Amino acid sequence: MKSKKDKPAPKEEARSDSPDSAATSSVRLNDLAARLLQLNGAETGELEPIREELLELARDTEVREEVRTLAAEALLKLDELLYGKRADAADAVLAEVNAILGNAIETEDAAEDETETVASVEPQTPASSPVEPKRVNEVKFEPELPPDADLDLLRDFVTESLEQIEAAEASLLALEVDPDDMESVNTVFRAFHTIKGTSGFLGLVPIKEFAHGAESLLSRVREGEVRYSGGYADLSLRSVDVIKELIRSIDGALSGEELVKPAEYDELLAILCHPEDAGITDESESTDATPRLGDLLVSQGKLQREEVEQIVSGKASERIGEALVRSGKAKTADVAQSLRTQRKIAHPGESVGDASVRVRTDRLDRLIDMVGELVIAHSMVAQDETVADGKHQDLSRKASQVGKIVRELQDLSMSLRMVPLKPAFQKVNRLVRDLSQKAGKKVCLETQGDDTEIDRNMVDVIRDPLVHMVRNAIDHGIEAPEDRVAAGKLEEGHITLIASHSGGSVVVELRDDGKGLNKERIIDKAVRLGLIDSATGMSESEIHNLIFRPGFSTAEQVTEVSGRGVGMDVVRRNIEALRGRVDITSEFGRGCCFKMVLPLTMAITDGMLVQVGGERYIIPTVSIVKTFRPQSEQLSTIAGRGEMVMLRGELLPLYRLHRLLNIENSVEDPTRGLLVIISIGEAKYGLLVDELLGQQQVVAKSLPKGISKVKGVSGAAILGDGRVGLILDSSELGAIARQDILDVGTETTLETVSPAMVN
Amino acid sequence: MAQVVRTLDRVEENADENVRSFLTFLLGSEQYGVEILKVQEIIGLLPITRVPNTRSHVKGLVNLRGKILMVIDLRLRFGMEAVEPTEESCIIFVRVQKIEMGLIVDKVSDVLDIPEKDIDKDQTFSTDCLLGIGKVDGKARLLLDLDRVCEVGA
Repeated sequence: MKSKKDKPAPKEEARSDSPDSAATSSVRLNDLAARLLQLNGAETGELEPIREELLELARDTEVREEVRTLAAEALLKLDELLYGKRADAADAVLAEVNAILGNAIETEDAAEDETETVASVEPQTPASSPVEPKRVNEVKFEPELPPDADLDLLRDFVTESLEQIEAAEASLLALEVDPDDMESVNTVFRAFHTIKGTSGFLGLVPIKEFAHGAESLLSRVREGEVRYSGGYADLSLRSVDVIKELIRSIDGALSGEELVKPAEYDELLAILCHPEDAGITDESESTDATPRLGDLLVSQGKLQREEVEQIVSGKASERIGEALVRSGKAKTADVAQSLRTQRKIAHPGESVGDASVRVRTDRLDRLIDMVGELVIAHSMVAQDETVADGKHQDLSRKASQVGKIVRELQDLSMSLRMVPLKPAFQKVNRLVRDLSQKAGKKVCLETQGDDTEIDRNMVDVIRDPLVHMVRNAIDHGIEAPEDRVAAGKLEEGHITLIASHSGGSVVVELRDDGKGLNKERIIDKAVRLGLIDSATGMSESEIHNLIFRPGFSTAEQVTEVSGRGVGMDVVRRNIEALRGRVDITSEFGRGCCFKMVLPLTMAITDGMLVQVGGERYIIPTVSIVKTFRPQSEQLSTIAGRGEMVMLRGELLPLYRLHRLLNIENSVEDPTRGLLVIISIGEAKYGLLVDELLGQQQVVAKSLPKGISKVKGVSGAAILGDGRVGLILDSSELGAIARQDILDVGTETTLETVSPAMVN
Repeated sequence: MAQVVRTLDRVEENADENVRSFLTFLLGSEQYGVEILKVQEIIGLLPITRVPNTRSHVKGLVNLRGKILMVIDLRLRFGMEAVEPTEESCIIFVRVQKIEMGLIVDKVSDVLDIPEKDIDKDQTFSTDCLLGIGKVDGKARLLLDLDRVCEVGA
């Protein structure tokens, strides 16, 4: 079916990859179109390579003639722009070029379908009838990746596509606010388009077909044929979900899992092809959260509501702003200003064109390591006698100059790993939309400080606790609309997500204006569960924090009554694993606020340096309650439970670090050493060390490969003097110690029961 | 295809003539060797941080210019008695299968080129850590299989 025709142009020999050339030229066209879309009219420099590509395509004898002709046409148009004729109307020209390319792609695709069925390069199902217009409905879904797939390419595809999807999601949500935001439509379109192109290239037919459907829908929005709202909005969001699922599934397949067809795949694909047949309209069920353009103008007194409605009803497919201006009802400047206001509401603080480079994380880590070394090396020089003795002022001035640079370099290198919380918050945005719809509640999410930066690794790990808390707030916190009205609140519930920096930490707060925690119920339940005897002497916050106790979570009844407590212990555990903490404050009937305090980065640990025998260890400061030298009367030994220490009326187990780690020559007498009181979750214990050497921030690293897991040690770090120090895992240490005591306890049960002096 | 086959044949023919380079060192009175290609660097003793509850030959962790690496004592690894480190003791940092680690040896000697045919691989050795025995000037060098040495290193 090749249109090799009788053209006397055998300048270029037939390529060896001729069976693929149809597919390749389609990919090339798609690629070109995508590149053009991303262009800004002004960047003529970027046009050159595109021109080259077009030229090649047009000259390529392997490419179908129709397509070559179209490519040449596009080339002509492009040249008009490039060589000055219409340089002033860059965007218009680009649009024309793109339209031509669109034609070319369609021609190519149509022809390709034909060749496919005839040539049948792949073993297609024998039943597959010749070309049908609704071919898309019967996409074959292979449970495996294409046999000749390049795994590296696929991996890149997965990463890139997920990023594209993320951008698309963000834009779709922006479109919820402003359905006429063409920039967002373009972003989504580009995402679908690129995924379609690449997946086609990689032979991932199901993804390609689906992305094609989604792209078609968006292109209709782009051309103003339909308006992005109501059913179309839902359809787009659902499509994004399916594509995301497809890509995840590819990711899974890379690690040997089977490719799974998303449940909604067939249904959605069919709807995407003919949305109107499935009863999709642009009629919206709920009102938009952000003021529409018309509303804005009315509220500013520039227009009467009736006027706006008249215009809108008359020209549904047109942009409202344009329609208003054309009809002479509003001044262009007013509309433009309102549009800007609207944009500001939709994208607060969005910066345009932050250039970025993708860097492998291991290189980044290495860079940070090296800078750390530089800091140590510099301090060695600065503290060297020759420099520090004050006799060589010139030298010490130079050394301190180097010091400044080194410190700046260190700050900079640490900031390299930081990313804004925005993507994580955007996911919450989506979650709130879906969950509130499902729960039949009206909820509006407000985010503040989403440009707060946090370590890249942290973004991934805080997502789960965040999702959990948001789910909780919507499921149990926010009341049903009628209950809210009855309680004298706004029908629409408000959830506020705030991020900020505070000291060396990131604070993420999640507030809702729901029903809040019922103190009495919590106390009741806690007493019944045996968590506390009574609430006497407990502060309000202590009572609220009871919901983080394990066991509280499984109490279904309380969940229904007080509305909180589902898996909150899991949330707390996760956050503590990140060396952070979580608090809750609540006012009954008024709402609830979860406050997560997280370290800026997992890489840096605030540690207490302790000495035991000849060794030094780092204990993470978050788990330390206090340190003190015990008096002999505070110490006792209890059979089966080992040594104990009495602290403010509380009897805590006492563990000796040197015994847990088998260290010799350390302080044996607790009254001569120091006790570090450690609190992990609900467990508290005292850890005996020789002495404290001071506090230090260290860059935590995992133990090197090749060494087996050491119990009680979570990692290692390079200390200020350049030596390696081990970071202790407080919760694991407690576990080892308890196990040791159990072991010993079963051997020797005959011990003194009465308190006795230790040593 | 034929071209490929011919080339492969030539590669095999050359193999026996191939010469491999080994870094040799002393443990007690015995000469050992490791493939030079796997050696990253040789450095005098560094301060070592002991890691609790590990096998005795694992000496601990060192900071090699910002990288935290494990160091093992080869003497202890091979069941020889421990000795106090001397001026000549060094750490040879090697890299096998993406794992980088240091080996403490008594003294580094030199680099030897040993032709493949002079490496005796067919003996049954008492330890499975040997690649073979290299004969140089009539003296035997115990050539270590670093993959094995490091595999059970921890």
